[in-house]
Amino acid sequence: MKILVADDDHLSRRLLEKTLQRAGYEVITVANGSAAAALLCDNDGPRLALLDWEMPEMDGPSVCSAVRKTKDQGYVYMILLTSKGLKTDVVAGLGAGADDYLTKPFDTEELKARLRTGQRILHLEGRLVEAREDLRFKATHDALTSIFNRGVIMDLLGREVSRSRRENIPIAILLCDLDHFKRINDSYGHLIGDDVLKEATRRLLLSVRSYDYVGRFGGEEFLVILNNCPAASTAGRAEEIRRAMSSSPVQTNAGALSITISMGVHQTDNWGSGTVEELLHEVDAALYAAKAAGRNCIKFAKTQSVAVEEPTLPAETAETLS
Amino acid sequence: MAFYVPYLLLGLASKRSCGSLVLHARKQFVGISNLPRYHSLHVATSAILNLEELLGRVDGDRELLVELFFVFKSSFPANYQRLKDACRQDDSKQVALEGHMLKGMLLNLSAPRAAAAAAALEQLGTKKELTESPQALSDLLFEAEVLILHMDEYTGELTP
Repeated sequence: MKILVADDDHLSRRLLEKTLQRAGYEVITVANGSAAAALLCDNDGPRLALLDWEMPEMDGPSVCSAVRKTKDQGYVYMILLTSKGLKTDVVAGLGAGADDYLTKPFDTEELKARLRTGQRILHLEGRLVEAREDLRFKATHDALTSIFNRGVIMDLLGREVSRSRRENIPIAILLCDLDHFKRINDSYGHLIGDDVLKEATRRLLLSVRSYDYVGRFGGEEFLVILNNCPAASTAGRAEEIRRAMSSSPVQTNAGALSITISMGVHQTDNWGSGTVEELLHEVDAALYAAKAAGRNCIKFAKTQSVAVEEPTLPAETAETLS
Repeated sequence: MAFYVPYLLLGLASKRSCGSLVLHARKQFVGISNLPRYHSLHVATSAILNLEELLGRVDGDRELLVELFFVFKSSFPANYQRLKDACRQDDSKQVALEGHMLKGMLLNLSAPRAAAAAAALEQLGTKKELTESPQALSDLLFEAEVLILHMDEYTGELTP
């Protein structure tokens, strides 16, 4: 584990460096407080530190204070080294954000024991952060497909619609539905259905850009937000996704299964001041129209006036033409 | 340092009695009144350099110990000069800082007497009472000299 030793006294620095190296630490040494603060505030910096109290430029308590104020990722466990013996000094040091203190001359075994305590705290903090991140992921992502869940994709939609209106940046909303998915579930069971959903998600993610959003909207429904997508290219992008989905059969334990999607599409250029719910209602109606038109095709929402002709063609026809 | 050189040349300074001899020499040459106030004439060697404690601190690493002695010997003159300059310029804050740093260094070296001399200077700086600093400086220099003598003696024992 990396540890920072900050001490302006060369002798003490060398003594600590050697002692800690012997104890298995990767030691970084600096001779002043500013350098210590810079390293500790870095997200890749050491998470364990031994700081001398009196140092040029910045003293130990000031370093602690600076780290506590600026560091938002990962806890740093800091021990102040001092030959100050007064209780008021100790209180001031701990008040500034230090976790512990050691008086000079330090006892090697005590130093190692206190550092082990620090490591325990850091380990515990690491586990708590991991658990928090896990919970956060579970709260925001779909358990089966690991893409955004409905709540998050709806929030993102609201945000992107507002941004699109505010900054006049075109976006497109795609509501995709796997065709005849119920039939797959009924015929092959839900585990095979799950495999199909996962593969469909993978294909969907591969066919969008890193700054587009994909979320699971319902059982076999996916909501896709194509950011910065001008009207002229929306139909082409939607068609790419439709083709990617049906490009080859999905390999499952029940054999190879062909899948297709139907898609309702809405483009910002002409959607006025409707609410997000109204927009979704319109795109849902477009999806319904695609289903009614025989599935495996794309329909644009009613209020859309741009590039309506091409995508409303049945997919098979579009493929023939291309 | 000159006052104890004759003792060393004559081989009178035995390895264990250097500290006492130096104090004795100091008494002879500079008079009892100039001795540091906290000194007794019979100084226990461990009060000058507690080797047992120091070896424990460095996990028995004698090579590191010698390296630390070298660091002290090479950095002390500059440290002392800065202290002296700060005293001359009546810069209490700097005196306190330099005294504090030396004290920490000497405590880590398990040199309690020299550390006490540095602490005395730190105190004078903290209290902004530098009138007694010449005496305190002299005490520190003396203790450092004795300490270095002990260090050299120990280092000499290590080399074949």
